[in-house]
Amino acid sequence: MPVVKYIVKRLLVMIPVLLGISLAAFLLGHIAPGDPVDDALARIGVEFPTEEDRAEMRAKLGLDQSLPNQYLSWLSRVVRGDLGNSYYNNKDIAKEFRARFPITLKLSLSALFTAVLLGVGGGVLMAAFRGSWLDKLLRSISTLLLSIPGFWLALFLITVFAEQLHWLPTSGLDRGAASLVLPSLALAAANVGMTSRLVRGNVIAQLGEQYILVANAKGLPQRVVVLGHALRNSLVPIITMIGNYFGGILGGSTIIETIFAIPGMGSYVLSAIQNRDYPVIQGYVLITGATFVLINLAIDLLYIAADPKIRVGGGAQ
Amino acid sequence: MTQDIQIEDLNVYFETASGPVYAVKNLSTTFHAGKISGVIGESGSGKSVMGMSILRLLPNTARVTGKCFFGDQELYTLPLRQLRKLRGKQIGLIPQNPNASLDPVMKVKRQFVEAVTAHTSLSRRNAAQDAGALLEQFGFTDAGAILDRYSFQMSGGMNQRLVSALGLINQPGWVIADEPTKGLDAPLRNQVYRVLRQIYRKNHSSMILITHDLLLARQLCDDIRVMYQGQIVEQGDARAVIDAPKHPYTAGLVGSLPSRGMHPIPLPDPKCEGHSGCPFYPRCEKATAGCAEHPPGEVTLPDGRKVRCRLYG
Ligand SMILES: Nc1ncnc2c1ncn2[C@@H]1O[C@H](COP(=O)(O)OP(=O)(O)OP(=O)(O)O)[C@@H](O)[C@H]1O
Ligand SMILES: [Mg+2]
Repeated sequence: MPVVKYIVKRLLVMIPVLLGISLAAFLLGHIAPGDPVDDALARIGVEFPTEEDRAEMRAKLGLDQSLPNQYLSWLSRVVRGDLGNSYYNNKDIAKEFRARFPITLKLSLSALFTAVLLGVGGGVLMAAFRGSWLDKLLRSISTLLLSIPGFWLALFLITVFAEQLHWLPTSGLDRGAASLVLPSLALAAANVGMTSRLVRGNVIAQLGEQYILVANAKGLPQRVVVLGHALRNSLVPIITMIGNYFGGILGGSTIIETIFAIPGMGSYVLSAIQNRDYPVIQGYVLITGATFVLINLAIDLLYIAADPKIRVGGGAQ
Repeated sequence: MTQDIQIEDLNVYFETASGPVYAVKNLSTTFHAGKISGVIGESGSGKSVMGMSILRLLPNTARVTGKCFFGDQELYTLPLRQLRKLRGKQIGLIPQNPNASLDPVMKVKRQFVEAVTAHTSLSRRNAAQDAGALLEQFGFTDAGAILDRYSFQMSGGMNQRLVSALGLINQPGWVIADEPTKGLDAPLRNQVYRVLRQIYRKNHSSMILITHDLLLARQLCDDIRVMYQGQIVEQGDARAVIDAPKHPYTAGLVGSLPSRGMHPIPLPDPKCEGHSGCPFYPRCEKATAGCAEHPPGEVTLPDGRKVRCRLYG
């Protein structure tokens, strides 16, 4: 079965990527400046440690072990959901992320959805009406979206839709879906610009193909020719691009969350960076890395729907 | 009943980066209803461009002037919405290049079904049954399995026959067939022509047959147009044109057939460049000095044949 083979291959590819992410997160804790033993002692109030205090703490933290052993024991803790405690306020990091992760995921997915909806919709319209005033207008908008920074757009949206028109909340999450509209738009804006251009280019390229000529020769309405054939054949590159954008959206959410006072992972890690709270940053790298990998796995599965060659195996029989 | 397709003074050029490329020049001809009209000529002579112009399927870099009457409708200015109703239903197309003609991500069945349901209220299932029956006529013994496949799972010959069937699925009164047997071996070629002829008889349909195969054109067609560099240089009764060609170019095409000694038409004589006369002049063995000066007009001979050559007036 070509499909099973494909899925197994994708799953196998995931393993080294996840290990790489965990290694990067682990090493991040080690390249952090300052001696972790002294830092840990200072946090329990031992300002002037003796050599014995330090040896004891070093053993307690497992730092007397070899680096690979440290990695393995760290990894086994992480896998069990133990991300350690914050240097800053000694709170359980995993617990904090468990509360914040769903919020960031919701925001990122809703931004991704916005990017797909507006980007693909705009791109298809531009392609179908290539050269018309609509094409030109949408193309200028997409250039604009690409060139203005997300945080500026966020502030602009807040001023107009929240402060002037009072349609949507300025910040927080207490109004459900309405609270997500402005942050999603701000987060998605650049991706809408990119997606619509890529979709336009791909659909126009497909529209020049011979099978489109045949579809037209059958007398199909334009809607069916553009959506049912040209867009349908452009899905593979579009899906690939959307997968790539998700990383940017996930990263971009840190700033947007801060602007809109959304209690997600982004605002948490931003303050952790300010406080040199390395375990929190480690946890963030791990979680966003793993999320990115999983979303890309989901996208790889979408290829099965988009590309029949994966389903039936390519080539003439 | 179906009506004639009448092209008047068609000119087509393409806008390209290196300037306009003329594909069809001052072309007028009538394709008669109920007949098989042949179009022959070398590669690049404008046969496909002329055929595609009828259904307005040329790429949007093409600039088309002229008229094309289908009954009392003028196709080049007909609103697209109305033209779409006519495409596939009244005028079907069997395009060149069959391997690229089917949607690579859609099963063959759906491509047939949508061709039917675009024009009738037939259910999807009945449409698929129709498609299966037609495929059997085209020599597919396992039509059901074929309909369940994608084009990339099939050979070039299978795709060629599928595309032919697709053009005929709505039993259009007119079919424009652009080299429907290219790449097929002799038995399959005969099968396709058998079906085309059968369908032609059964539906009283009319056909424009574009082909490189002169002998087949003679055998199958009622009349023939010979194209050279975007112009029709000779048109008339199929047998008469092939058996007793009037234009030196037609004579050259016939003479290059294996059965007639395989004498190729000479390449253009470089000394004859930069003239403003007959386009065939640089290759013509019967050329006279006057041929380089003015392009010849179309002359109608007593037997009704039309020739564009100074030899005849
Ligand atoms: N899209 C296009 N852009 C530019 N020039 C084109 C285009 N399509 C066709 N032409 C030119 O128009 C001329 C006629 O092409 P056409 O396809 O009608 O030839 P043909 O007689 O069908 O040849 P063949 O027997 O190889 O199919 C050629 O010189 C070709 O280069
Ligand atoms: Mg051609």
